[in-house]
Amino acid sequence: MKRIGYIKAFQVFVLFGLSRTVAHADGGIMRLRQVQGPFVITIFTTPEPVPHRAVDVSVLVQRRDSNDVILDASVDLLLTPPPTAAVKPTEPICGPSGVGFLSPESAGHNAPFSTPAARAQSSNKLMYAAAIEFGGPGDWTLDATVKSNGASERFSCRIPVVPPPRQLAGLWPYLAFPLFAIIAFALNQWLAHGLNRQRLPGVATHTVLASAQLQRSLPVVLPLLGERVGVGTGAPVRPQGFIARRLA
Amino acid sequence: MSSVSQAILSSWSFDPKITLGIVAVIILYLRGWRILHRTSPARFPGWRALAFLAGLGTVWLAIASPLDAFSGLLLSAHMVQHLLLMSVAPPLILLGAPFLPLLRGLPRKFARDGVGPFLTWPALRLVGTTLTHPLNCWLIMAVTLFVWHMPAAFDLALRSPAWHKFEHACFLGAWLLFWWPVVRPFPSRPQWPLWSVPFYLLAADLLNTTLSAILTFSDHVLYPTYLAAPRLFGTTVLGDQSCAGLIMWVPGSLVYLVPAALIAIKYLSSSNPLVRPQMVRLKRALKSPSLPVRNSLLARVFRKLNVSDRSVSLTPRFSGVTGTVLTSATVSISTVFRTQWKLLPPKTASATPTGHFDLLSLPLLGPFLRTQSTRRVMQGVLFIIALAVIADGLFGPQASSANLAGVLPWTYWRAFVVIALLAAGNFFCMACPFTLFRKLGRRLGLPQRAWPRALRSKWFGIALLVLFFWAYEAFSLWDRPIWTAWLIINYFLIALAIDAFFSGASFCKYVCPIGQFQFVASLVSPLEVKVRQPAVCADCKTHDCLRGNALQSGCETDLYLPRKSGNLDCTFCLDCVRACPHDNIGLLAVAPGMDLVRDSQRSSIGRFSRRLDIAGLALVFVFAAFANAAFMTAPVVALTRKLAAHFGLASSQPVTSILLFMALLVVPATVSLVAAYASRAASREPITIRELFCRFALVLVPLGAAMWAGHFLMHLFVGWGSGWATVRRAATSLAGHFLTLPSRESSTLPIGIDNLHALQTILLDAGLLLALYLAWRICVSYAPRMRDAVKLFAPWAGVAMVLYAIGVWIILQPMEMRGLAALILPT
Repeated sequence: MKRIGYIKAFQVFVLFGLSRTVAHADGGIMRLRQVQGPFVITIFTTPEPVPHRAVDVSVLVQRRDSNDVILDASVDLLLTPPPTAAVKPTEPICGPSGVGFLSPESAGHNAPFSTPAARAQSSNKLMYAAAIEFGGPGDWTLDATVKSNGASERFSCRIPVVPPPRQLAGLWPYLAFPLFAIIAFALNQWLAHGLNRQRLPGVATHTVLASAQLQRSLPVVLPLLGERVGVGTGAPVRPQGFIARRLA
Repeated sequence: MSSVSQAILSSWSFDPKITLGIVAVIILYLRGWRILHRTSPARFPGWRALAFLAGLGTVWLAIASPLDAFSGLLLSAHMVQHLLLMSVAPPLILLGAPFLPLLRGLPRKFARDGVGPFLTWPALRLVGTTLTHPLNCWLIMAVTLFVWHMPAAFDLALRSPAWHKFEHACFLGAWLLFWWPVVRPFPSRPQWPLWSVPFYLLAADLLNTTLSAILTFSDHVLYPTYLAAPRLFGTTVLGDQSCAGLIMWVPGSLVYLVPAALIAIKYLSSSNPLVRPQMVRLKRALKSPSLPVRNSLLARVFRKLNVSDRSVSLTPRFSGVTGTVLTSATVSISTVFRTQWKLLPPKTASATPTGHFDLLSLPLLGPFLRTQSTRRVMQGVLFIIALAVIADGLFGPQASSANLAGVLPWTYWRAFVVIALLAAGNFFCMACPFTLFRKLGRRLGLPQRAWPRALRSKWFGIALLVLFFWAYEAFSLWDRPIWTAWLIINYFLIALAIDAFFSGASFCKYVCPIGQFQFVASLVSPLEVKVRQPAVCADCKTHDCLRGNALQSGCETDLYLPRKSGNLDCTFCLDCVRACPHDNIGLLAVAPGMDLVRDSQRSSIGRFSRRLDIAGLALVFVFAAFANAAFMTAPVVALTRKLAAHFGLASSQPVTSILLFMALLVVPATVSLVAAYASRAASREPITIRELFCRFALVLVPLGAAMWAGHFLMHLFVGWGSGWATVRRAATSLAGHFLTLPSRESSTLPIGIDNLHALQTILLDAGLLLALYLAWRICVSYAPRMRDAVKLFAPWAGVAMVLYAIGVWIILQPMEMRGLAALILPT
């Protein structure tokens, strides 16, 4: 394998893996299930909506009489912020001290706004979904207006948006990784050091793994291979046949 | 097909992280399998690879298909999903005998030095042996099955996507263990006899039957979440639950019963060699070698190894190798090492005999890069861009975010240059527009002189680099397009003047601050201009790579390729490649940073251990990365303002200047000297302070490069959307109606802010780990005793960790995005 291949693969892996994942509306917490008019609707959201991040809101629309899923409805979502929410015109990078230079969309909404929900945005194509960014924490009101075959109904529920976790909390796996890697490397060096002390005379360093590992199995394996094996007291097992000569 | 069916069948979810993880494992496996299949086709036939691919494909199907989308609404869909993860994917994966292919698929050095010692670790062997003991495997499976089917746990997984993923991981892991004693993937050694396997499977089926019967016949809903869920397709909750129970019962039982029956039949067959004593089998195999051989040595080795090959191929469930599971695994690894990595180096796809990847050997890109005109075209393009930047900087609007001189150099160019350095190499110097007119300067007829001997070091470059960093902060270059334009103009003039008066690439090597920055950063680049076959150079008498010839000039930075090591002072001009009559120079892949571990005599550079100026340059590069980013953070900006107010200064500029000089010069020198003293005092190795300083200052370069990359990525993230609008405005302004670019909606870099922080942290992680690794390697080269090496290492590790902590603190701070406020604000 070419080294550049590894590097490119790693880059693609990291960048692709870190790319903004479109949050699909595939359930989460059920916020409302209500029968009204000719519809039965069920509203799901991400379990813990936080401000400034895409939150899935998914709506399943069914017929009241048969429970059949309605796929040609029109679903509009109206979100109203809590009256007590202190929504600041800041964004995550600059923080309060900087001038807000990102778009209002990326900074989240802080006033009532509406957005259509579409099946195309949902991973479960029976549902109508939208990715919504809330501008601040608190109990937001969601009004879903469903229209189908001339009928129109409005459903309402509350969505508790919790304060975002500290930035450091989201980074802890990445911060813990060096610690883990350092411990693993220290262990590796300690083990390799132990192997080096047991290394066979004349055997190249990179064959130490083979030689040391064969400590226990050499007496059985080497005779099968036609090798003579010498086992001294306290000394490492030492192959004396052609393998030893080839390794030397 | 009805619209509902269409909707169901199109309900796929795509998780890039999981998908990429699976793809990475497949690539690793196939690479290792291909090598092993070539040398041991009987042991690694094609069907094993197919089984492994099918297993991973089943995992992906379970978590990405509509089954996942409907698992929260229908228990039956959820059950099918679990069945795939428990009973279909694990045995298929294990049938692929993944251990050796995955190990062989790893980079050779990493597998040997990184993984190898762990494989021989008795403690790990014990864990492996214990975990794969059939009794433990069965118990783990049973506990997992029961715990996750308890209503509280099941509902928790339904409510929380994270727990749902964990549940799937538990199922996959537990059932991989469960199927291990049944499939007995090579090179594992069975711990129970074959006759016990049918009973093992029947016991599992009994458990499965019990649970599925409860689900099928229960008269109340076991999982309340489904009670509240909307009903689909006319099903009732209890009906759905019974259906799920039946799925678990019938197909779930078949998965256990069919293998149990097959194994029982195989065992009871009298002609089966499984029942023969092991030694008899081995002796028979020894007498009848069958695998093809390539040469006499391999013939011997393979004839001997065939003993175990034969035994395993005949009896895949009795490998015949002694020891525990992992012991036998590593025995096979050792044979793989011996036959393939030592005695028979595997053929790779590399075009060079060295086995290294060579960018210049690629079919289209290689010839393209080698030609002189390619470089000229690249330089020409950058020159035109530079002209546009100058023109817009001088005559365009002086809002930096709306001016090419504010956007292109400080948002895009810096980020792409650093990304190119870390991903490939010093390609900016290759395309540098400042040296485009080097030959023009020489044709002016001025007497060409050698660069003054007193200035043949990096000190002058360091001074200019520090001056540049200071000017950037003090004069807010990023926010003053006209100053940026004049800076570029002066850069062109100085380059032209120096090239007119002095021979060679004196400007690049001794003067250019950008070049010094590039040289240091390229020490951790993965590509290097390097000799392909050293033996060819040993016979070379003309040394065209250095001296040049009638057709092509040689290296203008005086690097003699056979003694060149690393990227320092290399501008990637590829003159040496074109000059070499033996076509023996390539752009080879190297392990990033590993060149810093060696202290060999380098052409035109000497030993790193004696180059105080290079160490100083590296320290400025590293500490400037942190200082430059820190001066953007709100706390540091507030501190400078506070200090300025404290001292009664009208502007914070003097304070900023003093702090910057301290951060670039005083702090690095002091910290490094203290660390060098501490190293020597602790280890008592007979090494001079100067040598320690020079060697270890360089190992911090990966950390500095990571910080620069993280910092510039943030600028790219923030300023990404402004680029096209600025280019469009500038094009209209500069070229009038001749160049009207279409308008595009402003967009942000497709990385979320959380992911940006994660990426920055990953970069810092990589920088820290590489710095620590390089430091450790140098320490080991000085002090063979582990204890002394640790003492030598500790102070420098402390410096690296403190820098890492500072870097993490910086990326978590609110940023004062100086000069970018107008990006969105209407102008």
